[in-house]
Order: sequence, then C-alpha cells, then structure tokens
Amino acid sequence: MLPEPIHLKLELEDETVVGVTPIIGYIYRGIEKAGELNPFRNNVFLVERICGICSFTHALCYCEAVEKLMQVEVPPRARFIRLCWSELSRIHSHLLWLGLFADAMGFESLFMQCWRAREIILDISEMTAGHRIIQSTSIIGGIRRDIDKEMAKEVEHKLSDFKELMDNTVSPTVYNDPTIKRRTVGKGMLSKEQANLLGAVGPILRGSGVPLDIRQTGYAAYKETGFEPIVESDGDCYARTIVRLREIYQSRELILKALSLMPEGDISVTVRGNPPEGEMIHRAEQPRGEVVYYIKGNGTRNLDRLRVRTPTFANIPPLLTMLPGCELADVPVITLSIDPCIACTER
Amino acid sequence: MSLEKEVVVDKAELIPEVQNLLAQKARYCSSTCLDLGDKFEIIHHFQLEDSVDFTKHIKVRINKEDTLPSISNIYLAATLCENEMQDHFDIKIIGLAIDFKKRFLRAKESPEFMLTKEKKEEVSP
Repeated sequence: MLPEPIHLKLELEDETVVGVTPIIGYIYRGIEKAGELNPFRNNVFLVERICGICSFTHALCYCEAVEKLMQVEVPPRARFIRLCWSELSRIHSHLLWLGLFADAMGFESLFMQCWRAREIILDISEMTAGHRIIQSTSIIGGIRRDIDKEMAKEVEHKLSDFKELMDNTVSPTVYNDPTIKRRTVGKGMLSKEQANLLGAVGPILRGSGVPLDIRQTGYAAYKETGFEPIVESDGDCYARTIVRLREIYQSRELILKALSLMPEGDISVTVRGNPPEGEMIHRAEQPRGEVVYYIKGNGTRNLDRLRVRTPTFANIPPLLTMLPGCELADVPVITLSIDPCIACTER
Repeated sequence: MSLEKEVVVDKAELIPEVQNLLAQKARYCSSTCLDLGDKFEIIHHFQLEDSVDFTKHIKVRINKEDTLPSISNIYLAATLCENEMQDHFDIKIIGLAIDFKKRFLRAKESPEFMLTKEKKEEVSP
C-alpha cells in the first residue's frame, strides 16, 4: 500500500528487482509560477499548500528567506515560537509516517497507537495556532499568535501525557517487535558514501551515518536552544525508523526548552520599505529533510523567481539505488522508508 | 544582494568545476534556472563537506539557443532538477543520465515551458 501518486516501473527477474524508473507528474500544480504571479507577501499562504504535512516549515523557510533579503530583524520571541510549531509538525509528521509504515506491514494496532499519540500533538497545534495542520501563523516579520504562560503550561502538561503514551506503546513496539525487525533490518541498504553522493536528505541521510541536519545552522531559535543531529549508522529501513522515533523525543525536548527560554516581547515587526530586491537562498529542516528556497526579487511586489527544492525530490535518486536487488515484496516497505511526499515533489 | 559564495563560470568550465567539487566531497543540493530574457542562467547549489553552513553556488549563463552539458553523470542527484529545467524552460541539456524528454512533470496537455518569460512587445513611441 502506497498512499502517494508515484508510479515505479520495476524490472524483475523472478521475484528480484533489477531496475526501476520513477514516473511522476500526476499532481503537478505549477506553484513556482504562481509564486511569481502572487504578491510576495501572499506567497506565505501559497507555499504552505505545497505540502499538507510540513506546511509550517515551508512558510517558515519562505518567510526567513524574504526577511534575510529585506534585512528584517524578527523579534526573538517569534523565533522561539516558530521553533515550537516547527517541531510540533515534525512530531506529527513522523507519527503519521510511522502509522502508515506499520499499516504497510499489516501492523494495524501500531498504526492506531501512532495516530492516537499524534492526536495529542494536533490538539496542541490547534490550541496554540488555531488550526491542526495548515496554520498560517508565520508572516514576514514574525508570527500572528502568541503562546502565553498559561498556554505554555498546558502544552507542557500535554507533552508529558504524550511521552507517557509513547513510552508505553509505540517505542517498546518499535524497539522490540520481531515482525518490524524482520521486515526492515537489512532492507533498502544505503551506505554513507552513497547517501552523500546521491544527495540524500533528512532521516535517510542520518540513517546512513551522516550527521547533517539543517537545524545545525541555527535558523529560527535553534542556536539558542542548541541542537545535535540524531544519527544511526546501519543504513537500512530500520535505521531510518529509529532516527525518526528518536527525533520525536528530541523534538519534544526542544519544544520544552524553547518554552522555558522564550523571552518576553513582541511577536512581529511591521515590515516597511521597498519590496525585496536581489537573490537569496535559505534552507530549513523539514520532517522529511532539507528544503531549499531560492528567491529573486526585482524591487516590485512580485518575485522574479521562486524555486523550491523539497526533500522527497532529493530522496528519489537514493530510492533508485536502494530498490535494485531487493525482493518484490519489500518494495512497499523500502519505498515508504523515504517517507515520500509527491505533492511536495511536484509542487 | 547576490548569493554569497557564488562562482560564475563559462559553459566550458562547468564540468571541470563540478568534478573538482566531487573531488572535495561536496554534496549536491539543488539547481535553479532563470530566464534572463536573451539568456538562461543556471545555478547549481552544493554543500561542502566540512561545514553545514558552507554552500557554494556555480552559476553559468548560456544563450537560449545553446546547449548545456548535464552534470548528472557526475552527480546522479542532479538528473531530476535538470529534467525539471527541460520541462519548464525548453533548455537543451546534453548527456542526461535519465532523460524524460520534457515529460518529467508535464503531461501532454500541460502548458509548455511555463516558467519562461513572455517577450515584451515593443511599444512604438
């Protein structure tokens, strides 16, 4: 079961895959062109719709690119709250993926426990941002909504419930269940050298032993909270699963740290002056990996160029290397292990 | 404002420059194509091994009727970005590792080369 519109044309010898060609283009929306036709401020809402799951990080990355180009200083409180929403989206994305991954293996009860835990995170998003997934809370110059002290306490309380649920259900299952290990250990191998050379990103790259995570650059408030990437070295589907599971716990810690370090103050600045002029490239770490935004402004309210390189786009060449040599029955599990998002890929 | 750490090269220097980056164990990030009117500007974005901050951008400009050598035989990861450029800009790329022949993202019915700029009509005084 693959709930994504990608067609993998497989060449087989008996049950063994010997070649694969990806065919996409079923849901191409022309978002980069729309980004040239829209006023640059309105593009925040547009880029959020590139992906239904990592929508907040798309908005964050676009806003930070424009802010860098226009030399806008965002209030520190806004940067900390951006970090919180970014990490909430990472947790719910990883749990959505883990649930679907379990479902692909026929493990229905794990699927249900993952999505049960995910509901707590979506409740926090709804409470703090007013919406569960597409929040529209990031704007050029800051954010729209504050998280006050009372709300921050409620978030801490809910994250405590979340950890308890994860500790008692999802984590022990992923670490100990023999079915999961049998379906994932040694499957879809990608070495450290291959991951680097093929431009893999996110948990695929880190699951192959490469300690690279764009949060290390210190965007939003990661410089203040501190950040170390989570790395596993086995390079198989199980290593990618463990990277994501450990990142769920790490994201929870980052949110708690951000809430405790968050300074008082404004949450946005009014952005005045000329529209953006010149070119800028900015990167952020989405749940699926590095996203790259390139913008070029011409001093008018419309951009000359908006270019978005999404994580799944980068992870397709590594997938083409993982599949040859595997058994046909392992293709869904290996394909799902890159957490493919074709809406992102095609834009 | 232009990109930090950008290197502008001629078309003939592109492949040696990218091979040099491969020797330095640089990681391919992305490619961007821009329509400058009479020319295309292609930017290949890389990250060097020693620092997460350190990216390098290789810029090359070609006339619209010229061909561009593909870097996908050095970095396979570039093949999808280069196919996307062919879809959107009608740019002629030579030596693609996988060539979708301008049908990577575009269907038969899709608008052609939608990211190229329309030629502005000259207005008589």
